[in-house]
Amino acid sequence: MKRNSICADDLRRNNYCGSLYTLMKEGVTMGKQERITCGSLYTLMKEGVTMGKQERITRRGFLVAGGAFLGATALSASRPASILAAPAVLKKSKVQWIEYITPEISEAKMQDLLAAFYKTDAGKRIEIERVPTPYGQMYDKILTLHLAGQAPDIILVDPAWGPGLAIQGVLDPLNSTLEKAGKEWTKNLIESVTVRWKGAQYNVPLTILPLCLLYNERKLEEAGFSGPPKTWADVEAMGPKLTDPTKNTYAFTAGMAAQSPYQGAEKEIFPLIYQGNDTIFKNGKCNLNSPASVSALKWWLKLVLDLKIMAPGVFTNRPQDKNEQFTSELVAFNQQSLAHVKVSLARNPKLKLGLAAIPEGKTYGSVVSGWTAGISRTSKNKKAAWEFLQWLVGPEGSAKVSLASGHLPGNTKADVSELLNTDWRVKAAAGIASKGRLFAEMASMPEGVNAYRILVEQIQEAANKKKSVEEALEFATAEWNKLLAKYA
Amino acid sequence: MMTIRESLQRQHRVLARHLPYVFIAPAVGTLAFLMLYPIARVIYISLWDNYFMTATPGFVGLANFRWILGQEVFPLIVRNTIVFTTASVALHLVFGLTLAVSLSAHLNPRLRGMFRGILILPWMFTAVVVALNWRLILNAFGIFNALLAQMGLMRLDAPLNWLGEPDLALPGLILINFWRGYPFVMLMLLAALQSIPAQLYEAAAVDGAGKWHQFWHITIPSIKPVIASVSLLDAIWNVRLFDLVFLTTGGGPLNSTHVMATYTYQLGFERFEFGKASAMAVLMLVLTSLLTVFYFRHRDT
Repeated sequence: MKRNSICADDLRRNNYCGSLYTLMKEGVTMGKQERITCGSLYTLMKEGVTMGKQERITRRGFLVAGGAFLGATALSASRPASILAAPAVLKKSKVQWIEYITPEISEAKMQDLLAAFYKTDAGKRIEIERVPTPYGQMYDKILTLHLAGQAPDIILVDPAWGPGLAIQGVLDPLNSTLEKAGKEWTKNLIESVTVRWKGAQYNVPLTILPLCLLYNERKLEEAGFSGPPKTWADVEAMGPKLTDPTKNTYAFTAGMAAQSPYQGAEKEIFPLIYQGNDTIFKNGKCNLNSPASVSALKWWLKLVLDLKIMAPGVFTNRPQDKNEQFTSELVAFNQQSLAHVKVSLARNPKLKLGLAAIPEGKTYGSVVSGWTAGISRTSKNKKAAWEFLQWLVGPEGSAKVSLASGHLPGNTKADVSELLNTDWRVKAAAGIASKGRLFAEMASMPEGVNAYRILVEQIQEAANKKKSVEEALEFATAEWNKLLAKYA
Repeated sequence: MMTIRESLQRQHRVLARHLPYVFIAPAVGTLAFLMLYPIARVIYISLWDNYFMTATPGFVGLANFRWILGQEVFPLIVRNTIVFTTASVALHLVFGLTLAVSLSAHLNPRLRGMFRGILILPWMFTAVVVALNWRLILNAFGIFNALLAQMGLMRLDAPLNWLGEPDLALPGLILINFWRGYPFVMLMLLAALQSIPAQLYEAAAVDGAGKWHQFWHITIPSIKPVIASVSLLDAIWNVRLFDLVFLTTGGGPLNSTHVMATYTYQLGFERFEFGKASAMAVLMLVLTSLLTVFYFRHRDT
């Protein structure tokens, strides 16, 4: 029987009854298998388990101890699973971590990851208390917890939320912490998804997720194509041949829903702008009204409205709806990040899922995202939080997260050869990432979610012919510049 | 000069007069803390700019209210809220009354209990479950379109995207809310119908009144107060409905389903304009308070 937990046998052997309350005050918790209730405490006393000389049990003491047990039982039952599974250790620093990794990799894999951390020196002193949250609810939950003064110590951050969270004081600048870690260590962290705001860095990367073209090999074979489209011209040629509304089959799925997190513009339009050899921002100003942006949106609307090669629901589809259309084999192509490969195969194991780079325009260019994390400004345990984070984004943690998730690691020193050798799709994604011209420009846009909302609404206006493409993008540019000026 | 007896009697009277206040003080205090304080706080925040966002928010008086009333989207949001509420209440009432009358007919009690159990089910689902299921049903590839195609009302190669087209999204949302909300109205009206004395119908039948006349001149006047109360309650709930709208359409496409509650959320949690969001919440409070006053006045009469 371990000293740090109590079970009925322990009490029988050691006559602990009278000191239960004292032990609980010291932080001793109960064993998982054999919780003691007020009733069993009474049974023990009837069995002749006596009290220590110093701690005679009185009626009041009995009630206090019993009450304390009931309270502790309720508390331990409401704790996250990770704590129950891990052996309770005296005086460990507790670090809260809000994350959307668990819903995507599974509880068992998360437990393996934490078990690896608990084997390290830092892990022996630090206990991780997770707050698993689905991605769709994450942003709102972070804000709500911060406003309530209860932001967890470590926050998993989508790079697009970074500047907004930095401005609101949710995230703490990591510059001095990273300086202490040393250049030799920080140089291995992949920079593309780093959130920088007014010279300060607010996050570190766990994994990298390039945007890919997920395709249904069976559908392509049936239509007589040997591979996915490589250029915009290929898309226009192949799209109509893969589309037959009478059979409920379409070439592409797309999502431009005016619903949080408003990711449609990033996945559908931004890559087209990069492929027009342009960028979203230029000289610190929004560049969405550039000729390349106008051409990009016009071409995308042509696919939706004229060629009609996108499955219905473009303006209500959220990422999960796109996946639904793809995994139920209604469409041949789904432009999504690498993160969606595992999700798609889990939903339809029979899917013959191919992976390629998204089709090129004038040149190649695409967006990149990833799992990144920062530390809460209001954290009372920043040192311990950083110790865990440093392990998590270091070579060992990064490799383990990659192996569990099928993402590319955020640390160049992470050894993921096992993953690359066994999963050809991850290997293909690594090849896509190495093509270069990968952008995560929203990592420097304040009020990223609000900015996305403005753009998506304008795209919908253009699609419904309420505005011309030029007018819509001009309006979005002006609004984005107002946001930039607001925080300049 | 006051005797000891009189003095004791006086003390007793004073105590008796004040004791009830002492007893209700904890409840009043708790209620004030839980209800009045948050309302006062929202009103207070609505008078400030950049509240929560900076350490030194600026006092702007009624500027946040003026800003909201001046927004291009505001008339659309008010119109959507009114259309959504009116249509939902009307559909709840018509369908709820029809079902309540059907269930109050001379049915086998077991059969009636079973039907009542089935018909009340939509009310028992959470908004998340309702939203997810109806998103699938009204999807372009969903059952609803398949049914329309089967009936020859729609071509399968030109499916309707019920929640994705600006002209169809609000009707689609009203349909979902109608399905979810009718059981409450049905139950309330069923209870009211069962309290109408049978003698009234017997007397009307003796006088030669048909079923329609009985319904129109006995049933409706007898349950009129319940109809009015239920309608007002339903209107109050629908004006401030957030979850179902947010989960199904989020206010889109093109703000076609944006209602006051979703706009409040957008201002607060997407634009971080908590002062303006609070001002919007205060406007909603005023509207629902007016309806509540109507409700209480009606109930008291």
